[in-house]
Amino acid sequence: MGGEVPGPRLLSRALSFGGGGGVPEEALHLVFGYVDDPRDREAASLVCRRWHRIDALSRKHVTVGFCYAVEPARLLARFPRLESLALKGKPRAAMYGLIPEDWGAYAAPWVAQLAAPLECLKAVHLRRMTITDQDIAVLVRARGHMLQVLKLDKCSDFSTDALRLIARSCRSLRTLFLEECIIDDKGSEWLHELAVNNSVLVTLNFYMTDLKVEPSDLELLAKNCKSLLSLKMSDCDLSDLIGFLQTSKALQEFAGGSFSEVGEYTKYEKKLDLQYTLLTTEDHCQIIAKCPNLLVLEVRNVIGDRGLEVVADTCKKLRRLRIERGEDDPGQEEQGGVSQLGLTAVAVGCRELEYIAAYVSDITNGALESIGTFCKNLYDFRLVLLDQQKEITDLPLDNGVRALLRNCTKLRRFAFYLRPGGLSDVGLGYIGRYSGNIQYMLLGNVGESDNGLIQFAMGCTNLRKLELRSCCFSERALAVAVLQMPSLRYIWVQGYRASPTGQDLLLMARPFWNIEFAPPSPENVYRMMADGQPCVDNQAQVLAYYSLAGRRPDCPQWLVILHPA
Amino acid sequence: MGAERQGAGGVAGRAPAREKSTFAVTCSLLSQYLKEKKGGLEGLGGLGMSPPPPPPAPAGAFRPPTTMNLLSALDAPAAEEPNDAAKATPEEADGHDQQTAENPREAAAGEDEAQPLTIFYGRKVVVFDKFPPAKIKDLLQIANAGGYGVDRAGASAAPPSSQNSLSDMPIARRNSLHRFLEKRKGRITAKAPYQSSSPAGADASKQATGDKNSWLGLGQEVTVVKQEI
Repeated sequence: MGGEVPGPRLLSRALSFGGGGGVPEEALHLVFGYVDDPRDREAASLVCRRWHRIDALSRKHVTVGFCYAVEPARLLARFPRLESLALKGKPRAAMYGLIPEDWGAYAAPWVAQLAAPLECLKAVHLRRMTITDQDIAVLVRARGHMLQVLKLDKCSDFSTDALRLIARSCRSLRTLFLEECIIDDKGSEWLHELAVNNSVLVTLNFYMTDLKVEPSDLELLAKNCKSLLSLKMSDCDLSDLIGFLQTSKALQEFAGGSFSEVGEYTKYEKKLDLQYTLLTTEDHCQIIAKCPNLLVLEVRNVIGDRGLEVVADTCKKLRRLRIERGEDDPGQEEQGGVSQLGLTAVAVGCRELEYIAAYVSDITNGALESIGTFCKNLYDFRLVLLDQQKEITDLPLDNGVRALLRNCTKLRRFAFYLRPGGLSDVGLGYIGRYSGNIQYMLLGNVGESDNGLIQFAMGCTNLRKLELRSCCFSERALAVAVLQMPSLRYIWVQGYRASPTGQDLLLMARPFWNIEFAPPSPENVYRMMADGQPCVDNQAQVLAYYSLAGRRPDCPQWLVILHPA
Repeated sequence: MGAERQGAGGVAGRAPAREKSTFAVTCSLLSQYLKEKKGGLEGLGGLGMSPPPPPPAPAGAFRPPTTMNLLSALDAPAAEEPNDAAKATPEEADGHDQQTAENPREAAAGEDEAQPLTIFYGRKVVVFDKFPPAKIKDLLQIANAGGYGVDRAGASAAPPSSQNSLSDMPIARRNSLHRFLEKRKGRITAKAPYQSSSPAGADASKQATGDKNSWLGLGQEVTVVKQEI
């Protein structure tokens, strides 16, 4: 931290930058202005007090990875001139219906304490948080005149009234992002007000919301916002969009509606998202065959091995491939389902891949080895083995995962979700030993016993964030494992050998380490989500994380804080 | 009795008003119905009782309410393992749960006999010693008609059968895709002529789109299906 006396070797270097000659403050500020990467900024801020101060005053953007890790007041104190703030709230599992709606992640304290004092703030991004109309009103009142970017990303608890307020008050808004928010729809006037009050909008996204809008308002928006480049909207009919599509001149990106038709494609397509279409395996083959310049492809597993072979033959520049889980019951999608065949083809054919996420029905060690051999640029790999097929060709995957991890040296994010027998303790130990620079992992149904977990933990020197699900480990082993991982700052677990009180978790009690426990409870089965769907899981959950903020002050009554007591 | 049922939602305080559910209404209707039917009164000592103390749950084990079990047992009593749907494991059961977990077995064995029924709702538990099986389907229909998604919750809330195999946690679905697949189920029936799985339909829809595209005067740059340039 800044302020510590540097050792003798470094002393002369420090003096050359220090007071009394050396680099003037203004120059340092200028230099810092070119340093954007948060890791570089973090490193620079640790050099000395002076650099710490200059970084603090000149840092433009901060991402708070977990809203309970730090208090708003501390952020304000350190970065008073912040221009852009991103906040993440609920655990990632919330995107899978596993976190009850009243869990927390309230925007209120952040808005209350930061909106007014951060006088340079013009971009706000909240992800998986709970924000009310009133919170938005506070934000808009303080920053509306300056706000250029507002992203509410998988947030909930507000209504279209707040959108109307935003539309009226934030005339400088370039980006309004509301994707996958749960919004109380009280009418479509918000879009009309946006169209009338704003002329600089570039990006509007209310994709995967249930908001109903008027086609005429869309047309008005296209007419008034000449620089609108991107519109992603909720479900609509193609016929309603005719006016809009004819009027919008600058539009480059569009998504929305309930299209089952296949449009025209050009050979210049770079990104393709077919996850929410009704296309068959054959349709996928035909479309993809026409897109040799694809960089990003997102599909459901209806694409099948056959479709992946087309990808492998055609999309030689592919960087990102996501194969999501479709309907479990084949029905319409008889040829669907992806296996080692498709994965191997893609590994061999698409050597530029940086990101692979796949829900597979079958897998072999060989496929993983192929990925390791051919996809040297991989930094994010996620594999989920679906549970439909009873017999998997080649388990356990110990050797395959070892080969993949050893060869993909750039890997930073890794998910491996299997079934019992999918990975032995030895294999789990491999993951630890060859984890390299991996910073985030999700593991499900891995290992055979506590030994595997401990072996794994002893190898993970750089792991910062860990999610574990449906594993056989004891509470005690979990606690001990956490203590073995020096970089770990956040762990989420659901489905393990939990005790009714979580008391063995106290083995990992230490300063600044918050331990929160949701006991297994039948009542949780019927806990509701904001969209009216029941929260599907009732297993015990553990969330533990480093925090400078002490105990959460806003826990729901079903959540037990084990530490700090 | 009605008062006991009403407002017995299991939802924490933040739930919006619309979630005062039809299930609560159903429960009060049920109690009314049972009061009226003499046969059903037999052995209804459980009605109106304060909830029994919750059984000490073995670490990590949980059995879901047996509504799901009963339904599957009635639908396919002979062939299927009635436990498939909710994966309850009666061998794990202790006292109270023993009774409910064995229900599917009993229901499979003798459908004409009134069976014990336990209802978990909110923080309350109600036990009926002899509930007529003929009325179970009605009850479940009413409950499901409330759009509560009980089936799905029951099917998904598969408990861990023992401390050694927590494999009974189903792989959770991503919310966005889950919503899409649910909507699609309705859409496929609605747009039958344009079902993309049938070749004739696919051709017809492609042709229709081709026409629409040219009519719209869309250039090659802006296309209709979700894609980004």
